[in-house]
Amino acid sequence: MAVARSIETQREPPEVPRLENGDRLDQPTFHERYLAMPANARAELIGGIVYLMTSPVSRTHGRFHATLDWWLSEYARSTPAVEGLDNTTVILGVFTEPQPDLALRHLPDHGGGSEVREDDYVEGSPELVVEVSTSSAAYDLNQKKADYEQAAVQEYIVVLPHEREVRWFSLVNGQYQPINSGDDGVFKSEVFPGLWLDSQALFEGGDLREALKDGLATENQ
Amino acid sequence: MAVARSIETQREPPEVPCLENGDRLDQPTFHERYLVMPGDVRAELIEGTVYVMSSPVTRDHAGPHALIVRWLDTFADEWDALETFDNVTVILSRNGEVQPDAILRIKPSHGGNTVDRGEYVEGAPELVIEIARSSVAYDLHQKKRLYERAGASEYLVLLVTEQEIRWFVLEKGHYQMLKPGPDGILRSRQFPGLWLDPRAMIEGAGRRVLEVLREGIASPEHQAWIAARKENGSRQVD
Repeated sequence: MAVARSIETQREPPEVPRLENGDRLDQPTFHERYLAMPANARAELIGGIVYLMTSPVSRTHGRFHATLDWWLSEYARSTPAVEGLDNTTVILGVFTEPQPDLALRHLPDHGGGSEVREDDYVEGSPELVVEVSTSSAAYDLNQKKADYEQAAVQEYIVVLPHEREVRWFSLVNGQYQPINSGDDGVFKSEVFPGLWLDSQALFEGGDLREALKDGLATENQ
Repeated sequence: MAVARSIETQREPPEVPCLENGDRLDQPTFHERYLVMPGDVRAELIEGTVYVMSSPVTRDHAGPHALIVRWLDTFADEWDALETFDNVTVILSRNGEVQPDAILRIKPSHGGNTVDRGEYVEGAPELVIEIARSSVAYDLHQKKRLYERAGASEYLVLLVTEQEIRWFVLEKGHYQMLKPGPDGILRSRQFPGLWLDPRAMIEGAGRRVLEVLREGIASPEHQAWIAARKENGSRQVD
């Protein structure tokens, strides 16, 4: 049967199947398949669903990411037992393994909620997560927010460059409540004392150093 | 302030934003954004979530796809009220717009469940077919729920990895698996005479697939169904 041959699977499926966008998987299976993917593939497991990231990264995203990276790193450098993570895999639960743009964690011996596994992945909830997001329709403010909330990430910051908005959430009785900035546009973290973000400066190209310096000075008094 | 300039968004965001994988949108917004995406981008809106498809299509997907369309076309040829579409956009609801691998529908002019909206199909087709990589694919989860809620009477999924066909029929609003006859043949309830030898389909045995289908078309149930529908149709015309 000539037709038959032509659509036969001549190649056995690979031992570890590929991740496909939209797949329903648990975290261990996701992790195993992710490890076997080509190096440039980026994927996240949110609410048991696989999201493959295939878009190139825009300049706007990259710039905001870099600026916020500096801001968190600077804070971590000035604060004992705090560690910043950039684009790092975080295993949050049986159905959740994101790679947040940025995360900040207390070290486990200083009351932190996350640990580092033997294979060098972070498991458990960092105290703070930051995502730079294309729009408020993005999954960062929907599916992902629900997972961070469920995993009890204490604070969650979503930066929306196009909408020129910072949405900063804090966990209150297991649910995210928005934290507002002061009239001066400065947000103040509750879980990391002194971690202050000047949102006006962020969008208008000002200097994030001033507010952070003020925050650290206030808290170190 | 040197730092300042470098992080400004120098370019305004485009008038219609791009679709991003995972976005939460309603169907009209999804559709508008889909229209302005580059030509090679394929996306679906399932339960309000955007799935952007960018993988190349593999042979083990395209092969069964071709045979399924041939199978459907052969059946549709029996009555001009039937229509097969390959990869057509189907608008299902406020939160669903998909491009199934294949659909079979009764034309709107003959009392089918779908209507034409512009260049697209709106409503739940009588039969939807998807070829899925495996049983963890969204076709058997998010998408299946979408078709179920939209009221697609029958939903057939071919699983490439498991080498399996699952054919669901709607019973009181829920999908139940269609059971094969003692001869191993699956028989559509919505389309009497649409018979399938699942093994032959999986193995790509096209002749066998069409042979079984011809038996279905020759069966009394098919003839009775066509006769009833035609009579019904001509009565409506009168």
